[in-house]
Amino acid sequence: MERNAIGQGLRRSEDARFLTGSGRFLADLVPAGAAWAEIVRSPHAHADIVSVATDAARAAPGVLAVLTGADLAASGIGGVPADEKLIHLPGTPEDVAFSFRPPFPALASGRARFVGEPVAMVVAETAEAAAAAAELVAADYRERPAVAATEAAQGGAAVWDEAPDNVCFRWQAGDAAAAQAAIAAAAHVVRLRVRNNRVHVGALETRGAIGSFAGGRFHLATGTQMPHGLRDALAGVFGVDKSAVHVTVADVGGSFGIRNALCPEQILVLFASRMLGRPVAWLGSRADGFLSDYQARDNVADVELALDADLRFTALRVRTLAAIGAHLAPKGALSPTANTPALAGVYALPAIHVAVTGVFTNTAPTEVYRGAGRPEAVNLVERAVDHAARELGIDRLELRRRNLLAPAAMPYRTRLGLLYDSGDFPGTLADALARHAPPPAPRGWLRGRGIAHYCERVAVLGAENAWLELRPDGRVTLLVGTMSNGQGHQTAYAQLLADRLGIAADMIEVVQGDTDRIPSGGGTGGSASLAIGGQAAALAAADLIAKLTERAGEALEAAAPDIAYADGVFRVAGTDLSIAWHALAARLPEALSAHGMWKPSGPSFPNGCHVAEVDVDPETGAWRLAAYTMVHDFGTVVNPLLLEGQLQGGVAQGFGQAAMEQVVHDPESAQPLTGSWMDYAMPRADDLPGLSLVSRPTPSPLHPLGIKGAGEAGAAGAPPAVMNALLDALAPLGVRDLDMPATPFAVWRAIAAARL
Amino acid sequence: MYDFEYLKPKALAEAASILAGDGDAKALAGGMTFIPVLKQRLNKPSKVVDLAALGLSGIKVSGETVEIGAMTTHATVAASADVKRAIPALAKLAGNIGDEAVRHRGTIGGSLANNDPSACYPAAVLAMGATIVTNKRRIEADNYFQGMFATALEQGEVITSVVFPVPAKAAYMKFANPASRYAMVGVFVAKGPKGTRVAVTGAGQNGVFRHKAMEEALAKNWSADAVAGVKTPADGLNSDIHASAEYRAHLVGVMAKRAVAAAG
Repeated sequence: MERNAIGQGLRRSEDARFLTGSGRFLADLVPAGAAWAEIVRSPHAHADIVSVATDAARAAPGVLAVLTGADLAASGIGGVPADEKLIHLPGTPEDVAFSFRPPFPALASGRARFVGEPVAMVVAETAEAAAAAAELVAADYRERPAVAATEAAQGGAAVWDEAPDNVCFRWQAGDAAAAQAAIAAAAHVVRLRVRNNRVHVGALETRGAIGSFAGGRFHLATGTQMPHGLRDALAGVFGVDKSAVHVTVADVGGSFGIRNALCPEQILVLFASRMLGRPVAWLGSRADGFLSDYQARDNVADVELALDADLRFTALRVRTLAAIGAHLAPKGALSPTANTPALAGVYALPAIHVAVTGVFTNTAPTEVYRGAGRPEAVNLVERAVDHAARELGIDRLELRRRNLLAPAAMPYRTRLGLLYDSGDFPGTLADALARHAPPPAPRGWLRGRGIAHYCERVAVLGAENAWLELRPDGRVTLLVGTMSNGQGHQTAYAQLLADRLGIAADMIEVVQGDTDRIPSGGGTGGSASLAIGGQAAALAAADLIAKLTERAGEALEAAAPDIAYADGVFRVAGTDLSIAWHALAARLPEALSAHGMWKPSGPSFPNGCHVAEVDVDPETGAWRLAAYTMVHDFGTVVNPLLLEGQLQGGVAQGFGQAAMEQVVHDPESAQPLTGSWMDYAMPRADDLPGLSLVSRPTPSPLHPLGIKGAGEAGAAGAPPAVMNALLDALAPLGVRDLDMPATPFAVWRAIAAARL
Repeated sequence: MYDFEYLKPKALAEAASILAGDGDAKALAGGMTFIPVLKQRLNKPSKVVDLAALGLSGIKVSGETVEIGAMTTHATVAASADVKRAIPALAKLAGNIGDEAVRHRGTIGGSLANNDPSACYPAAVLAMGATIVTNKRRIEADNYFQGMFATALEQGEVITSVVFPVPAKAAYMKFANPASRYAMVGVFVAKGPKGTRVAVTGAGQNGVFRHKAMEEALAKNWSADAVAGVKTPADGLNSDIHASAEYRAHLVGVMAKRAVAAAG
């Protein structure tokens, strides 16, 4: 029997399906007889909805229903639910609370607050009939002043009357007095304003939802990372028991956090389906996505880094304005608060204080996105370190070496409360520099190098359960509540279980994405699936082998403690008696079940160092990434091929944010100006060089398998590595600051401004 | 997409007659702009007349001219040994339009009929002084381009081919829009039978235009230094989220300089 083990670079078993067009994405799942929905969206960023005339649309051919906010309000169903509480970290006042948690009905009622906000839904026999009738819905709007920019929110037009200063929450962590005292006493304080640009995630598969209602139960087919979380949220929206909601997820073409949260259309198809007594499908277009997908990042931070006379860091103080959008999305407050501990970075920082103001603007709501606050924090710290080196005239490497936490300092408790279990930060830096081998720069171009460390707290979701079923044919089915969105979970779980069960990976089927079949699930997020779900699966494997050992004892007429299992065979110690996996399975009267549950005692801390090399054409502002090296410590690597895929994608996303991605609104009207790929720049394969990815694993001491979690790290380190490289290249021209995205236009402007 | 009638005539006269007889009928060449526009319900034609069966593709090279059939794809032009030999700058331009899929569907006739202000082909046509041949007449490049998405084509007039006089020197430099990769600024320089000409695409509010000041400078002295000294006014250039008029004006100068250097 072929032996599959942890550490092998198994190719993804999903890919044959995906590459030959036999994946099953949402558009492949629309049942016969389904009605089709089209959403009428607000064309205004901020307007009173005076009236919504639906008569003409209702009378159009094939139309089954036209819903407005008034219909939803009359039905008494709830809107999109958001977190009720802000997170507590050391230094967070006990009474911290949202200043205002606005309602988020699935269809706007009374007022529309961003371009693309759903105002009505048309359901018809065909998608074409729905689209045609949607054009007949005549909404009458009275425009109001709008606010687009995060920096303009406070003092701008009020998005909500209840929050005249547009403040959704004020939150803080760390020690304000200690930071203040350190800054007051510091030999040097460097200050920097860092804008983290708003991004559109732009997953390959657009958003969609298919709702049906039968036998008193709702069924939603959709794309999500967290099927059970979505089920629970929908039960709350409709005021029904969780058992009355069934969520299924097939293949998903990308999420990156954005599909975690419930969105209005998922509510609407279920509502319409219950009303009409037939399935209702909504398959959003790319244009729908650009307007109404949850967006991400978008904050403005003022950073102060204090240093003593020896240029050792004494304090970090950060004041952040974080854009919430027009509504508070389900996890809309998480990124700027819960993951700010990443500000502690890899440095000895004796005092840290961070204060965050979440503000409403007339823009699409923001949500978690790959790293969810960690990339933002890493960007701030790493930009500030390079800025300090330039301002104070010290080599960047020397400044880092003076301030990096030494391995001997581990375990280390940061001033934002994290307990780093391990990490060799000077070692990863030295390795990264040693392995970084850029090609020569083109003549006349400016070469620059950027360094960025990261240390992430990941795998902090709750418990995950895993269930195994061994059938008489010897094959094993895993049921688990995490959800692949393209990461390759089918391969990773099968490989991990093959290692534990001693059978080939292709004997293992992975079942995910069905809240009826899988009793519970924490879902996928926070680089946690393999770290938590994987360990739950490993424990289930141990349970299965224990049960099989009992059966083997019965079969071999031996006592279970005398039986050892290895490589597919149960053997009685000291004898030649044995029974193979298949033979034992064949004796089973029915499928044999096993279970494992894992709840981590604490997070894990993957870390590493990114080095980016850029070449800038000073005449045009164009630049390219010439080389990229990432030394990383993810603990035990289950599958190096899958890991490389995660890192390549993550670095590309981080590079994209640094180089080109940006949701732009008209500053006056708040109309989005990046409504298609014609204006929203997404990195392409030829924008990136081959990446040098160097594994330097130290197994996590806190995890039974030593796994740390790798999904978000690429996106965390790449933005500051790239921006630091650009600023290094441009330093000879006098450029001292540059915001993301560093488009050629932005670089050219920075060069021109430095010349003045 | 709205409903329309799809027609695929086999004769040019039939296609022209359908288009002439119905103001709401639209011709479909490669469809690289038109089909997305249809899908987004931004256009509501009565009929879509597919030009694919009219035999309008192919490349003919004589000593002095390169004639490219209107339905010839960018990929065909880019890969043509004849075009590469006669006007290498044109083959290179075609090879850098869009992506591989676009180059295998998009056509030179479609590009010119659409006259997108950021398209590459208009710069080549105008700079080399090419002739647009239609089912009705021959139109000189200087008379053909009439502003953004506007051309001299009349209702029912179909481009059949484009005739390029072979230049002694030519090169095209494109500075791509970071999102669309259309030309944010594209400059085609040519020295040939129609004179020394410089055409700029992507930058002008009215689409492709000739840069007379650069043409005069190059006519006197064909060198990168000659155009480097010519300032391009920002007036009349586009400003958008990707580039201000001033930046575009600057890029016109840089791209022109590099194009002349590349042309040799």
